[in-house]
Amino acid sequence: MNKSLKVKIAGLCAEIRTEDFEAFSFLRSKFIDFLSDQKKKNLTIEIKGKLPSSSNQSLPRLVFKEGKFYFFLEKNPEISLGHIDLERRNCCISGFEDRYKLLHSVLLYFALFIEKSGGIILHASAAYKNGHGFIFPGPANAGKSTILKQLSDFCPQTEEWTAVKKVGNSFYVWSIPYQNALNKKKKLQYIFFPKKGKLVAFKRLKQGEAAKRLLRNCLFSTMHPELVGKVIAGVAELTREIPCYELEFPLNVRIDREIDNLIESDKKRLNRRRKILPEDFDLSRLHEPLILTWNCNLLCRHCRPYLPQDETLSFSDVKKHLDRLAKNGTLFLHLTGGEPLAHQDFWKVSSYALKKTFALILHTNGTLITPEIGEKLKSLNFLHVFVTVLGGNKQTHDHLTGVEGSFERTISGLRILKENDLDVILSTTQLEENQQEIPEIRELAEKLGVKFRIVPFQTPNKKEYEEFNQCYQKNFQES
Amino acid sequence: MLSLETIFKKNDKVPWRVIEGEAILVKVDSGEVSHLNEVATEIWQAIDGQRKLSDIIKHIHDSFEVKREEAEKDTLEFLKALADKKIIIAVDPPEKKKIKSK
Repeated sequence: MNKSLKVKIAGLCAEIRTEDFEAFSFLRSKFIDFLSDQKKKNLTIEIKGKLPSSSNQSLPRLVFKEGKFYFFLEKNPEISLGHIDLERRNCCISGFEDRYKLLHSVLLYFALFIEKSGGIILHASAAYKNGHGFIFPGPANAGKSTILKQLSDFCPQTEEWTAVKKVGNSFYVWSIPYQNALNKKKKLQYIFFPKKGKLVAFKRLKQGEAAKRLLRNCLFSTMHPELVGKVIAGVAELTREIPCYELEFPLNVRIDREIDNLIESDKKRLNRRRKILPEDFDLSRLHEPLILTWNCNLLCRHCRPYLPQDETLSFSDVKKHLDRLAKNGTLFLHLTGGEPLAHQDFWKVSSYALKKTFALILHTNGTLITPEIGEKLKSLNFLHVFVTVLGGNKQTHDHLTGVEGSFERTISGLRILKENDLDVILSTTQLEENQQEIPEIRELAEKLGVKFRIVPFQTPNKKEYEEFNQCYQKNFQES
Repeated sequence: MLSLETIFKKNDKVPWRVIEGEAILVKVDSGEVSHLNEVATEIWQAIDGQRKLSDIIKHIHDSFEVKREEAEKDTLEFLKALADKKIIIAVDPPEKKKIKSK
């Protein structure tokens, strides 16, 4: 008769079906704390028939072959003991005389799907206190179990195998069934690498070092490159976000107090940091320029000759850039060019960027701004608009932009932006020809009621900027 | 009035990013940049235009293992402050919407 039980490990629920009563009762006893009555299952395990007993002591491992994962014994790579169908998420295993090989196979199956869903399995003990989860990764004899005994205020969660996975914004710790493992899910706060020593001492590990140590204690369910890559990426993220320490401790001494003190001092530091943006927080890393097009309706002599001709990003390219920037943490998006308003899809781009929750900043020459465009910029919630003015009067400005009438159009643009209650910054570039007029340009800004800023001329690309500078200086010396 | 049934959505004109597990929000009118702590970030991310206030409180209660009353008080205070500043907006519950559309 078919027997079935549901087991839930690290958030994944598998139904195990077998005709073998012994296999059923053995697995049931091993997973007793991990049984689930959840209706929806993620995985299925079918245990069929029996393999003859063998003296082969090695444990099963997973090998990828022709679209499936097969269980092989390390010392007997000819006979498959079962397979996993990734697409259907089911697994078929032969019943073993050696029940521990069966248990190991079932756990490997879980491990594969935990890794597939972005989790990692660590050779680590774990404990928790006041909702804080702590893990202690290390090889055999590093002190993983010993340390749990010396933490009398902490509740031990597991001694040997731990799963860690990011859910939403946080990392969580689960136990993998093993002796004395409690079926708990805790929010991970700290990683401590235990080291037996003479005194209690904490050494904060840099991310690279912590990742290296963590990788040494990772279980890789298989050597399939995609899954190995996922585990490595998981370790990198984990060590970037969770504080990692080496914890040296002597035997037979309680170390609760020291860990409490460490948490307390870290908390104080965090609280201080959280009131306002920390002083050392580099806001510039949240800013990124996006050159929509090199096209421009002006012919500024310090700029135009050095710009590439007619290069414009298509909307689909822009979308790709924006998706990448959003993912990398860019918050302030500077739309620039050339003249960004000359881009055929400027409004589509701005709407898409708004949807991606960027703060939008426009860098424009202001000549194309009409009342409708002013209203549209306001409705798209532009944070700042920078408008370039190169002279304090029509003569200088029009001379430098190479276009008659550009001064009037730019000033009109500035007025419209101001009327629409946008945060407008009149920005100027200090050039040989206009440096005498900087006070006049500043006055102009004051008259218009907008902010004023002198910006060094630069194309956002560093290499182009350097090339430009060389060219510009050469031309300047020649003239 | 806030009730446990209230559903909020983010004002889609508020630019934001989560950097190193903490949200940074920009108030466009004033140019002010705010930095949320871990708990506030969790609440901010839970505001999706679908979850009721009671669901968000339960989520915070589960994630941080604080007392239920504490989770409720903190969440309510924070959401009220966000709503006052129009950073989040209360939406009609889905049932009402259905009736209206009929």
